[in-house]
Amino acid sequence: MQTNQDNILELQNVTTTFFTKQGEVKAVDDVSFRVGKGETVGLVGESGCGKSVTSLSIMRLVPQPAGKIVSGKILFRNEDLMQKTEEEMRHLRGDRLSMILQDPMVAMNQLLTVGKQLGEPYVFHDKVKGSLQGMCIDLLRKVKVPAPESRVNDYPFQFSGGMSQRALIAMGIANNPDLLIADEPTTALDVTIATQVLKLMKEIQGETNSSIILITHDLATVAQICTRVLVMYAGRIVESAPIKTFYKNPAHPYSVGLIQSVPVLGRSVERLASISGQPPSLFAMPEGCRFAPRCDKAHKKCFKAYPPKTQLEDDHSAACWLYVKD
Amino acid sequence: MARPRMHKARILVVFAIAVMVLPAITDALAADDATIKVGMRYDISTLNMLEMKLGSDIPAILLMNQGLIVPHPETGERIGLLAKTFQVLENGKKIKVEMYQGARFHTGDPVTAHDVKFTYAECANPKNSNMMAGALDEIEEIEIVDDYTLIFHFWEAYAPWEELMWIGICSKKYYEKVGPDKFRSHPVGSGSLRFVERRIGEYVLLEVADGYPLYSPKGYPGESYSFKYLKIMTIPDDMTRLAMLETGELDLVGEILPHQLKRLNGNKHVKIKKSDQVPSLIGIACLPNTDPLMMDRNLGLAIRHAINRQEIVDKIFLGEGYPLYLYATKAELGHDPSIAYAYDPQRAREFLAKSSYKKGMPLTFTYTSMVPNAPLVAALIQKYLQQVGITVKLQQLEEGTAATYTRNRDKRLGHMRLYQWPGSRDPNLRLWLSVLSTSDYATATNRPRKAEMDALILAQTREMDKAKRAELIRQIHEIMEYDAIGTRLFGLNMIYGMSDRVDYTWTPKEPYYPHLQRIQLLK
Amino acid sequence: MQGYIAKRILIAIFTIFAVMTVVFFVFRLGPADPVAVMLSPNATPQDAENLTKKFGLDKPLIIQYGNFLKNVSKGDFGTSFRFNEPALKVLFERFPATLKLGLAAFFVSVSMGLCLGILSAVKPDSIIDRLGRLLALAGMSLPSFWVGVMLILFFGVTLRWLPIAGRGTAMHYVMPTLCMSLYPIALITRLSRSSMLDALKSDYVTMARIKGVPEFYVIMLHAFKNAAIPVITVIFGLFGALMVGSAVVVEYIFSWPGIGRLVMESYFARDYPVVQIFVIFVTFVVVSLNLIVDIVYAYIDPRIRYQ
Repeated sequence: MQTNQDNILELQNVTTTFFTKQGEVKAVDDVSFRVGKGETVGLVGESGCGKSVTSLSIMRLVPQPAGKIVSGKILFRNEDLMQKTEEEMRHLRGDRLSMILQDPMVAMNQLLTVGKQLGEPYVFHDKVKGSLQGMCIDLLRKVKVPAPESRVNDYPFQFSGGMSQRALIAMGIANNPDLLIADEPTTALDVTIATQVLKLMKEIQGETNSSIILITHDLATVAQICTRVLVMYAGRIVESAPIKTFYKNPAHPYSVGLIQSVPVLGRSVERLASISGQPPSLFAMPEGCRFAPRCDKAHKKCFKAYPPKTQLEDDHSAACWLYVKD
Repeated sequence: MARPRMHKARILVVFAIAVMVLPAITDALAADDATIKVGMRYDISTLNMLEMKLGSDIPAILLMNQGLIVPHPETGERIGLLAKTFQVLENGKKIKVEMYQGARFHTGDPVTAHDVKFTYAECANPKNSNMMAGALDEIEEIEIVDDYTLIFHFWEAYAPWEELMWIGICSKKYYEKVGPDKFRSHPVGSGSLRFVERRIGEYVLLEVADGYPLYSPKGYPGESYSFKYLKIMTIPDDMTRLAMLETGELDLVGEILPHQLKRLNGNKHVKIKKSDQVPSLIGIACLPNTDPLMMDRNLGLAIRHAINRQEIVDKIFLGEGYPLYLYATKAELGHDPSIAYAYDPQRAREFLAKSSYKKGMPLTFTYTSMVPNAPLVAALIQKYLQQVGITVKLQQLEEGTAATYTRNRDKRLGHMRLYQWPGSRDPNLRLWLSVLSTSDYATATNRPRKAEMDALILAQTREMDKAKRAELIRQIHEIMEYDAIGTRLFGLNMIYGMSDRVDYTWTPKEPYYPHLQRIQLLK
Repeated sequence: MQGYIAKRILIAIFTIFAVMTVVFFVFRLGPADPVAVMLSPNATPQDAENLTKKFGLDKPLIIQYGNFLKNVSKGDFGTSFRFNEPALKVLFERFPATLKLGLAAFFVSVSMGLCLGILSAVKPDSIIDRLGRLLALAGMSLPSFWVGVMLILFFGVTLRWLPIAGRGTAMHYVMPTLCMSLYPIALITRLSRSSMLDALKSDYVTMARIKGVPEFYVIMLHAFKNAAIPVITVIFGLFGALMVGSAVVVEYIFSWPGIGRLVMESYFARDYPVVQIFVIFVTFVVVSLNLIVDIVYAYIDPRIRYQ
């Protein structure tokens, strides 16, 4: 796989394993994908499929000491993050590479003022110019928090959910990062506020030209802002497609199931389709395709070996035996 | 924004360290080679002679204050200290005392007959709750003849009058000037050591009083001091006290128990001395108040013959003591080594068969931790008594509870009780308190020859002739032996250890660290 | 918050009053009579009567209680039978020694406990963690009198590094402080370790790392500050009681002239007024420490402060 100057991030065969007392768990298994400059990529999948571990792997913040990135390359701006020292990583984090966690109520330190937490990306990357307080107020203004001058001294518990999420986003974008990973940024919010937040992220992206990885289990969110979709199932990427292709012509049976389970306004269905069965236990991965036990199109081969990635068309690939030509 | 906060934390840490270290620095005192350190178990409750409460108060107080008489350091016999002569007048009703002239208080004032009178009056004053107050009731009046001569008027002749004459004389002038509070915190006496400092619960520091050499009356060997300071330290825990003796942190430790000797014997820097001349005895009181059966003479005799006293001494006290049969130790008037009963279980069984004790009837035997190794002693006695057919139920009582039960003659005290008499050198008090049938503490208030016994006790108190008094005491013992209510078990040696840099010898017959000022610092 | 504190103070006063009453009756209804205990074997019945009258013990219990309350309201907690001085004075004469030792033990156990707890949590299963867990287990299970005796035999008698008892120099503090600190160290280590582990796993710590905050500040500013809240409750809330409890044993063994030893000796001498004032004082200390905890809590946790 050659490197691409247009890519801000490229994962090559990344495997992250958790070594627990019950056994080893490959939370991220041989995952490869890329994110282009200025691109917004949606990483979609059910809870526990490895989306968050993938993002933490990129940040090199996999929970220690159980978790470890055992193999693969993480190329960020064409440099392999796996080769970086902890101190070099720290300089990247919160500066060039940033992330927003899903629940603002627990992602913010309740004992420090919002202003103090907002200021940290500046303070620890030596970006303070003039008044730190002023910078924090500007940042809050940028994410449209009302009355930022007084709000900056508030504690997180004095913020509403939507405002907290905005403040969290503000922390993520403080230093205009090249890549922002947003881990379910709207899950904890109600629909109207979620829409506002997504709109805000899009606006900010327009200003800063950051790349965004949007992690979600909600395809509706993906449809709103993403340009490309990665579908993850049980630790592996099963399909990668541009947004339009994905909705029009999903390849992997799991993707098909996902799309069918989304209610669409104006389209009346008797019953919302859902994917039957449960995702496999991480401790007992099936030998073949991991989706096979739940797949209505599964055949013998699917239970024997994991399907290779098949390029269907430009920028659209899937890992399914249906597309493997003998 | 984050960093300035860490400075606050750092300041806190520095403050914390300062608070921790400072008290240590302020407490710091340089070690002093000229100080002799004596370790005591009990805290001193007061340094004021006039309100002396406990036996543990006596050593420090008697170093600072001198009495009219003092035990001879080598023989233990009473000899004059502040008093030059004693005259027994009117068959003991009056004692005329002529004092040495020239003795001075640490304030410089002379010690006179007025101070003596004042001291005795204050010690007898109930408001001071002095431990001597009861005994001082014997004195009717103290008459001052001149500044150095006085006459003690007793209500009646009082044979153990010498036991009232050791009271340390306090300065009337100083006491009246400073009042009781100051006198308590800064006592002044005429003793060979002078008060320097007291840390409550910690130590009392005394200093050799210059110009107050060891008083050296006739028959009392004169000597000089080899040290400058004497520190009496309170170290309540036995193990700690002995550990400090081992490391040289203490120079003198008394009341060492025999089983603790093994450790000390291995230490060549510790010297051990022993004395069997201490008035402390351990015995069994039979308590007819719980059950009249305990008056049964045959049962009493069975108990006496059933117990192997020598074995108790050998097994539990490693031989550091002697079997005792009489109600008088080796250190006391009336001790008669010829009275002894053989350990003879067969005879014990015969006596038991003749008694009204019914086989299997449990007798309660109580003990407190006051007696050294009490649980072991009690268990051994239970074994002896069971061997001859007496069923014994052991019960440990908390000391305060036992003291209250004793005073109230509470039945919960059981049939028999293990006790220790902590010691006084004259038998008078013991007889009055625990044998005289009208006493609150008497255990056998209804002995068959009660009237005869009470008369004898009274008579020996009033008998000024020593030989005649000894005969009366012998007769008392005879009745006690005949009645066989309760028995004595053994007397223990006083074992005391000292560091190799000092030398000290216990004064015979004395119970409380006598003559501590005679410790010699060896070169 | 003022109303809250005022309420707490009222409850505290009531608690102290209740403890005072219970203590008064419990001691007097026990089997032992102080006069019987205090009398020397040489004392006569007249002495006993004098003593009984002197301490007012001849009056009915309820009248004694009434007098007691009347005197307490005047700040008079009775006169020590043993020392013939006001019980409060006797207690306060001995308190500085306990306070000094307690403070030393406090700082040793807090600093050691927090350091061990934090280091164990930051590097779980490392040598420090294992050592910390061993120490915590030992501190929790070894009785302090045994530890004290072992310390004396080892450092005092065998190695001769440290003085055994007394209060001459800073070195005199080492053994009693260590002996007194062992249990709190164990407690704080365990508590701060688990509290820190929780905090380090939390999202706000991950978020701080995401922002590129250096690990030291992540641990001290983000994780520790949050982890400290439950630890502080224990440190202050339990410390008074814990210290006084172990002071009784430690002060006895090391012959420390504090209130722990005083109460032990006073109890055996049935010196009720001193035992009484001790219990009241300890109640007072514990209750006020709990009050302080609430205030410190509010200082650290803005959620409480802004209520």
